[in-house]
Amino acid sequence: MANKVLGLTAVDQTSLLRIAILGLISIVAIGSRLYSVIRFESVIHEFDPWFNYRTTRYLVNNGFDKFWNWFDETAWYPLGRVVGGTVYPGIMVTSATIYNALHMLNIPVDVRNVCVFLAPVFSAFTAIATYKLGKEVKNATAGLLAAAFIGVAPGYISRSVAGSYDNEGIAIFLLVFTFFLWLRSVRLGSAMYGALTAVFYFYMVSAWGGYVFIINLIPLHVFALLVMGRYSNRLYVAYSTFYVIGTLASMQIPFVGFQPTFTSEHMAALGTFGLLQLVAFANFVRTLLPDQHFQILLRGAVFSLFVVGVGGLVLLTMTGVIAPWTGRFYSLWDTGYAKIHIPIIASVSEHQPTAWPNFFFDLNMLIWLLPAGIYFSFRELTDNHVFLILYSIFAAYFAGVMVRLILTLTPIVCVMAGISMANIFETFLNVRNLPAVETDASTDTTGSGAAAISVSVAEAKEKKKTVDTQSTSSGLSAHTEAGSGSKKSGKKAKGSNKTASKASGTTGSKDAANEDASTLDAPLTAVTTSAAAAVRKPASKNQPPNPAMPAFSPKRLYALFPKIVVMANFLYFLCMFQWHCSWVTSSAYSSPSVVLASRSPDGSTHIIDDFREAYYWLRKNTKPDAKVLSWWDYGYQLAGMADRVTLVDNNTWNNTHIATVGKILASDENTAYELARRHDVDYVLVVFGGMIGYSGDDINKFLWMIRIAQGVYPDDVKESDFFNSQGQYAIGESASKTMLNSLMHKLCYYRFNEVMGPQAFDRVRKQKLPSSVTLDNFEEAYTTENWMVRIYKVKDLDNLGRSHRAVSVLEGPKTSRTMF
Amino acid sequence: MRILGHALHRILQLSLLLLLLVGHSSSAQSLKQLQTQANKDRDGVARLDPDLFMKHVITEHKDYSVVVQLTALSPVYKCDACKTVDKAFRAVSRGWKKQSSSKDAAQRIVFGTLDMDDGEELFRQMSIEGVPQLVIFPASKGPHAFENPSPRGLTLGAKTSSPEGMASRLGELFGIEIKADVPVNYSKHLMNIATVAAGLYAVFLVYKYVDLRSLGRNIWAICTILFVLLMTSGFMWNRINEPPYVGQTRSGDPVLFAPTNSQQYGIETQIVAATYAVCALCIVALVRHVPRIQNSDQRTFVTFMFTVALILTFSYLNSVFRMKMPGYPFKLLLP
Amino acid sequence: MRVFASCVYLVLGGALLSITEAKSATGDRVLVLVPKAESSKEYSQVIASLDKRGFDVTLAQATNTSVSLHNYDRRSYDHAILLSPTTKKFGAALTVNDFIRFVDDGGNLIVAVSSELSDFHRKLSAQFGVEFEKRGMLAIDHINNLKEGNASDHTVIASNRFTDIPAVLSPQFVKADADPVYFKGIGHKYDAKSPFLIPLLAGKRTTYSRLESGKSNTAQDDSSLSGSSLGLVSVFQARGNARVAISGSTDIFSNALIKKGGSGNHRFVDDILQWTLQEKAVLREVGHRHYLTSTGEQPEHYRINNEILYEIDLSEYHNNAWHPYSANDVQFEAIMLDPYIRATLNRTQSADTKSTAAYRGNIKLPDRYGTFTFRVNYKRTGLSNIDIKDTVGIWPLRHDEYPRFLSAAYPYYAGSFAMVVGFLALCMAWLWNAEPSKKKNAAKAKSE
Repeated sequence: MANKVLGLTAVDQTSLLRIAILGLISIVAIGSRLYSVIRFESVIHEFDPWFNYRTTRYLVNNGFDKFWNWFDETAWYPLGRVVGGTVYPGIMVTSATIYNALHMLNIPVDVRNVCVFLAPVFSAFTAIATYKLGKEVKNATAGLLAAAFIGVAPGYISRSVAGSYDNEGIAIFLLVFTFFLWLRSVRLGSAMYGALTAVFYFYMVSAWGGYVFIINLIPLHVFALLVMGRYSNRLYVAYSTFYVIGTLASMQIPFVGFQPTFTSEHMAALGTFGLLQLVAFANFVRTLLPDQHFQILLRGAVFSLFVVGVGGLVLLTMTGVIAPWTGRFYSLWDTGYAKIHIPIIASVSEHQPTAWPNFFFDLNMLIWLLPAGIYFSFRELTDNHVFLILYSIFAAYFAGVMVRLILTLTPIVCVMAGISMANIFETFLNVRNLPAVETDASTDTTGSGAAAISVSVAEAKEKKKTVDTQSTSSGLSAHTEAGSGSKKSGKKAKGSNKTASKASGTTGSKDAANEDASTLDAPLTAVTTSAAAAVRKPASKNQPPNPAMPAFSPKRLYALFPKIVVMANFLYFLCMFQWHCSWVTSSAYSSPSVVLASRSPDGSTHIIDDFREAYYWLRKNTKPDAKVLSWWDYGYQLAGMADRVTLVDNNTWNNTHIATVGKILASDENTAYELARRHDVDYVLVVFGGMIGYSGDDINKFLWMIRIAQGVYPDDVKESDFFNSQGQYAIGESASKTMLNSLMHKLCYYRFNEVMGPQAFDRVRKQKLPSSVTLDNFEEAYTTENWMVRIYKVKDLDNLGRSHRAVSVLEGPKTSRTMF
Repeated sequence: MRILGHALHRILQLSLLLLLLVGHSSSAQSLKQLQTQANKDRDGVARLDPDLFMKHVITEHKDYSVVVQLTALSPVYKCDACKTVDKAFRAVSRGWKKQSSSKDAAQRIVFGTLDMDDGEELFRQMSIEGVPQLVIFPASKGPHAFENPSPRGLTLGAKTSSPEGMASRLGELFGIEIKADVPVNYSKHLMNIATVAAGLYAVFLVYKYVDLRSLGRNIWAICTILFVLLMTSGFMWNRINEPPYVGQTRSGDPVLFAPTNSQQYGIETQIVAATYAVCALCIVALVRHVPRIQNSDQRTFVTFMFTVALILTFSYLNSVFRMKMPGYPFKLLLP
Repeated sequence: MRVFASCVYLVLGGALLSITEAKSATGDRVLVLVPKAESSKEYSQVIASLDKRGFDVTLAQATNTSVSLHNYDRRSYDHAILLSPTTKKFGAALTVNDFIRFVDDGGNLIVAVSSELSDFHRKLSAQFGVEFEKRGMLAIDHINNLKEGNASDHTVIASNRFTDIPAVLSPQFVKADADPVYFKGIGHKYDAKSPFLIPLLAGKRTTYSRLESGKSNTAQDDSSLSGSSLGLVSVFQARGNARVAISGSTDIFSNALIKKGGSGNHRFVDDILQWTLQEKAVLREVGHRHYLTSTGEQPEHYRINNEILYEIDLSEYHNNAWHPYSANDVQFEAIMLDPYIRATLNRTQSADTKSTAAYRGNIKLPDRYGTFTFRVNYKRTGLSNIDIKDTVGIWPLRHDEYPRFLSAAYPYYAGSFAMVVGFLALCMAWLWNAEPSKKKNAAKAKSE
């Protein structure tokens, strides 16, 4: 047939193209996350990933049952850590499954590589999920654009580059997909989709603590719809199914346990569930009551219930019946809270509030496409759009409070941007019947053309069906009913188009083609127009040619010109966006802080591998059960790379223990020695950047250690003591007495001036060094190439019960055993 | 801090000198004098003059401690810090008055204030450069004597300038519990309650009478967009870190944008939010407004107008970002 | 791990058994350093007794450069006896550190000095918390002294103020009117707080310390030391169970004093030698094990509230052989930062062998998971220390080890089953009761 290309109808062509585009997007998404692997190697990044990697290995080697009951004696010595019960197992299970599947197919791949490449692969899935979401809320155009955006948006890449093997890697995909399923289940009111939502919610719960966002946002959506008087049986079915199954499922994760029944984070969901039941009941009652009476009854009831509910929640929380909000969550609401109360949270850089450059850095032009998107969503306010708007509001707020939460903002930004862009494209890429732009415009108000055209039809069709729902639900649900109906009829239209195009020349084929074309996606308009033209040619036989139609008349060109300009402009913006993203990714988000790279003047990169050097030394030269004390940042890496016992690690569950470590590092040698002996510490590891100017070292983190220690031992550690008489936090000569005597200071600068010479100064602090640092109770065991990691051995008690000071006085200066 | 340290040093010298000059009066009566002075004031803060200060505060042998606020309250000096500190100080003093009258009168602490006006030359002698300052002259004998009775300063941070903060700090310094007496601000509470009630009522009204689906929608839209704009332009950062509204160069002329990308000024967020808004506006206009225009020439013109506006705004944003982030390679029209 | 440990014990035990031929538990090579070759005659009695007891004694001149305590970082002797107080420089430039190292490596040391002791000795003995009087000072007692001949300067004092430690001293010294020990030499100040040091023999109430008569004795030369604070002979046991004896007098080892009748010297010197050279009061742990009472197996880690058995075998060395060591104060501790459990282990005669005594305790592990240290820390004055540590993981219960079907929860079970039944019933009701015309309402009502 004329309109067939390669024997495919326009519809098939579009779907083919769609798939192709999605495929390409996925490839780009994966590709742009591989910088770190190419630059360095396939290595696990940073800190938390090392724990996930270690547990994954354990899972792969020992099976799920062992993993589930795993009690890790080597962490948090001597308290130990119930790993099975304090971890979100989603990511480990996922990669273990992939690993086993691959091995079942005789593809011998290493666990490490599975872990390294998990996040990029899931980012591809995220792109697809985002496409579905976009398609759900607007149309395939928006979907594809959104997918393209999230594929490369730095805000998401920051947590999902190859090697950053962290929960967020898969969680974002789950987040988006759960929301997509939720929206669909609300639109279709199908229990099946509700259940699916619950299933993916469960997956999300098992994967990331951020699930709280879902379990608060969805109830909020429901509540908003109720308040807007948009109750419908579809909503009822969707939410009831989701909440019941989802909650029961989520309680299967040991770490979550019974929280959904008593913690405040989950109360909103519970309350909304109850409320929904009431409203449903109310609607049932309404069918038995005269309307006007009922209106008052309902509104009053809803509000009073809401007030009572909130009041009750507050009351219970105050009386402590409901567990108080957890600290991290608190710091989201009461923004000052963390700074004052929880240094352990405030100390983490990614818990700081977000300055605007961060937003622009992570989202570039999307950030100003967001408001436009919100506006468009407000134009056509279906249930879905209500959700999008709520999502944007809350995500924006949280992202503003905590840098790391830009992550949750990114998907909605991408979707919104997709919507705005789609609107632009549909307006300006639409080169059909130019004089009739107005009709397009008018149709734009109610969303994609098809919807508008077929609303009437739909209404007609839906009349019978909507009668009862209209009686149950308030007027607006009718519109959405129509919307959903319209989709159906849209499909019908396509169907009819097929038949029509077969029997070409029949009347009605034209508007069929129009319908068809307008339901297709903007990027494919070229195709569609060709298709439309193809359909139109035969049609134009028995109809007078449209005056605007003749191809490439100057008039047409003139009319086209502005569109071309606008499109060119936006295309350029898109290119810039792409450049920006790849630049940000390569420059900011692709270094595995385990291995560092420094660029020497002649431009050649010089790899600094001190961390792994040190960990490897420990692995090879110390007893397998040696206890290594370090600040908690390095706990996971120690466990993962050095395979030694650690006192504290990045899972900061026991503030007291961390404070103890802080106290050890902050107090003078003898106190520290006693404490260290008490905790059976064999080695002390400090990270020191003064030699090569690595600013993220322990001396710079020291203030936080002191604060955390002070929080628990206010009598023994005082922050003010560490500031010198000028009231500044200094090292070396100008430092305060306490600072000079503190173990941290001694361990960092011990024998430093021997290598740096007499007028040595610290390359990070840019300050003069202490002339001489004596060390009695600890002896230097190893110092890495660039002095970045220094390991000290805790001396044994003296055989004759003398103080180490006396011994070293007797024996005179010891020749140290460090190797350079 | 350094200033204070220096001042303390001087105070010590002075006190020694004084020992030579005036024989110290018996501590009991000097305490009485101070307290009478204190009772003149409703907050129980003894208004000191150089004479009193010399005689009864900087004496080696006294069995009571004196907390002295060195300040300059008269509007001439325009010292806002002084006012806040003074407020806190008086609150603490009031609290202590209540407390000591009720139970623990044994520990004898006198609160005194020394104002610039009364003791200017004294200030000079002590070479005090910065006010306000809080100096504690601890008891040297008696049950509550300090082992080191040399006067010590109290660093006045953000925390210690609040009544509770100061009270607790002093409390731990004297090893007892001092409660500040902050006047309960009923009007404030009432206001809050009223606002909440009003808000609820407003919501109710809106819900009842306004048709949320037509008119309401726009209002909601505007609010939402404004909120999102604020959030995405670093409003919360400002709220938490409280940066200056506008930066200043050495020469004192204002700077709109903080040079580093980890900092920002108050005005910065507003500018950025505005640029975002303009960009968004252009998009909306291009989509909703342009196609409505009947006359095609006009339409073309408007299209170009908005496009140009969009490009300019975005490139402005871009250039600002470049300025804040050196080494950012991409630019658009503007440098 | 455990297997390995037990192997070690076996080997160790074997080794020890093989050397029980010798007098001492730790070896029989003795180095005796005397000032001059001929001065050995002076101490012939002691040396002879050592020989008789089966030690191989190397007699050497202190200044002899061929003398060295270590050979390729291994001890060349098991015991060293220093009888040359005036020597400043031992052997081939042996430093104080060398002697300390000798002790650290488990060598036993006897240091005897006189009032003319060299700084070397002063420094050495200071390491053990013994501070000798100024050079030239003597312990003097005008009441209790050797009443014979022309001993008018009362420098040979007689003291029977012993620190009563049965592990070291034989019973005859314990009673109040024990034969005194004649002592001629310098007294010392001993660190009373040190847990390692035992002032074995101290001065009587009338004993004090002053410069020898003839030398000028001005006020400031008088030392504050007198009576019991004036140590005469002290013994020291290091963490590593090496033993050291420090005597302010070389003479008590000399034939002259040992032969003295009516004195405890002979016995006293014997006791010192026997104790210091590890011929008695030597404890050792032959083996220890812990396992679940139920299975008798030792799992790789325990669970909370497990019932376990802890066993330890102790034996004591005296009269040339290892004998079962019997005591009623052997304690077991389960420690995580703080001791969670402290229980006394009971002697179980049944499990004794001819050389070991078995101690056993039934222990219920704490209701707390974590890495615990099982520790038997047995330190008694005079006896060698025993400090056994095992780190053991105590894990929480497995997910399927928790009790099921609690009676308290029956209402909930009932509730859920009732729910199920009710639901099914309702479904059936709707399925079969709704007439075709009412289908819709049915559907709707169901969704309420």
